[in-house]
Amino acid sequence: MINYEEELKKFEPSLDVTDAEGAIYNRELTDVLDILQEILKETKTGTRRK
Amino acid sequence: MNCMYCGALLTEEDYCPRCGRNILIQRKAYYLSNLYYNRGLEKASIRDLSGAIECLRRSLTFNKRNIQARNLLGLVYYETGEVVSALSEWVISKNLRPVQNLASGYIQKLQANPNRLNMINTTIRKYNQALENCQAGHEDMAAIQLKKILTQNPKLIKGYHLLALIQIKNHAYTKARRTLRKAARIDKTNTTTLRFLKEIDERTGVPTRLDDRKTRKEKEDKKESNGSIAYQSGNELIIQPPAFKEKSTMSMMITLAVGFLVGAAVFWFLVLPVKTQEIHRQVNQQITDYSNAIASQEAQVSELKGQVADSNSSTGELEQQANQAQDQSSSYEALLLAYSAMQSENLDEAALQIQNVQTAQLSDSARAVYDLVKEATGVSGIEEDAGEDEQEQQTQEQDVQ
Repeated sequence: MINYEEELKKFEPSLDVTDAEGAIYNRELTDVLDILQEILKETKTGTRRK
Repeated sequence: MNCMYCGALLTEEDYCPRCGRNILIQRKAYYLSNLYYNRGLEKASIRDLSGAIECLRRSLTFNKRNIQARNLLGLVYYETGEVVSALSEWVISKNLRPVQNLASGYIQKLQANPNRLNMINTTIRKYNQALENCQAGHEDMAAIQLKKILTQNPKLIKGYHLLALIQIKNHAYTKARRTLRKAARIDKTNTTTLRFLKEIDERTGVPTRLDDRKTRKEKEDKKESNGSIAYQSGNELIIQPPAFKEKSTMSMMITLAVGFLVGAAVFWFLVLPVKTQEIHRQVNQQITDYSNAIASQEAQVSELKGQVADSNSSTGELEQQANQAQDQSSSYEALLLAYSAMQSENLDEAALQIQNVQTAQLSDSARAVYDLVKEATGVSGIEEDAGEDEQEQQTQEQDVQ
């Protein structure tokens, strides 16, 4: 059974074209290889970054 | 593929030729990225856009520099109406590889048509406004706005979803189904679309068919083009042999001409006489009706003539009665004058007046007075026999007139 209020909460406003710049800058571009490199750095230096 | 540590070009070995590091994990990550990219491409080609987005995003988590995956993801976002997300992907792709990149072409195409971009931007703003209206409880207003938005930007899947949700809330299940079918044409396996359709199927008890009419018709035509048509009727399988089809143009023309002639002959010999008979019957009926009308009118005329004759005769009678009354009154007047003259011993005057008295018009008591005056003067008035002769004469004159 669909609950109208609950379903409505799942809808989020769309970004318009003027917000594209901000969306691009705030984009998370980390991939698996970046994470691997980070892990390797940490193991080398012996410190753990949060 | 370049080494992720030093950037050197890698060979088929599992070690970097420059820094000597083990690049097996990098190779595996690239392999998985390509695998997910291929899957995403397959799904996009069959319009499974939600599935394509998922695969392509996974591809990019393994290798953010997979330009093809990023460009394709932008395309898929654009197809679902998410223009800003599409632009973001293409801009990032262009930054990662500035030359020989399809993303540059896509961005240029978008920028080359500023009106279209403005229109899309407007629809996105209106969508956000419609969403606010929904959250504020003004669903009717939101529905009107969404309909307008979807005519301008028919690829905005979120718009279809929101409109369908409003229609489901208002129990307009047929409309909601129609809206969701349009969304399903853009993205076949979108979870929200399928979930809403399932809800509608449960509420209405009627399952939704998502294959479009064209595909259904093609399937039916294909079945028929094989020759025989087979279909199930209860427990029996009925096979209909293929229908005869004319192949030669000349024979088709001859067949058509013969058919036309036969049709014309049928019309001439069967249909036309019936029509003619019907027309004659109608004409005869009209003649009968007119004759009846004339006869009834003639009867009315003769009746009215009779009434006129009756009224004429009664008028004559009334005239006669009036004359009689006139004579009576003049007789009584003359008698009175004669009597009063006699009383005043003017016998000459009395004699004169008594001559105007018609004795037939007098009553018994008046007769007594008349006798008195007659005796006194020795002159008589108009006696009965003379009066009747005079009346007959008058009647005859009237008849002659």
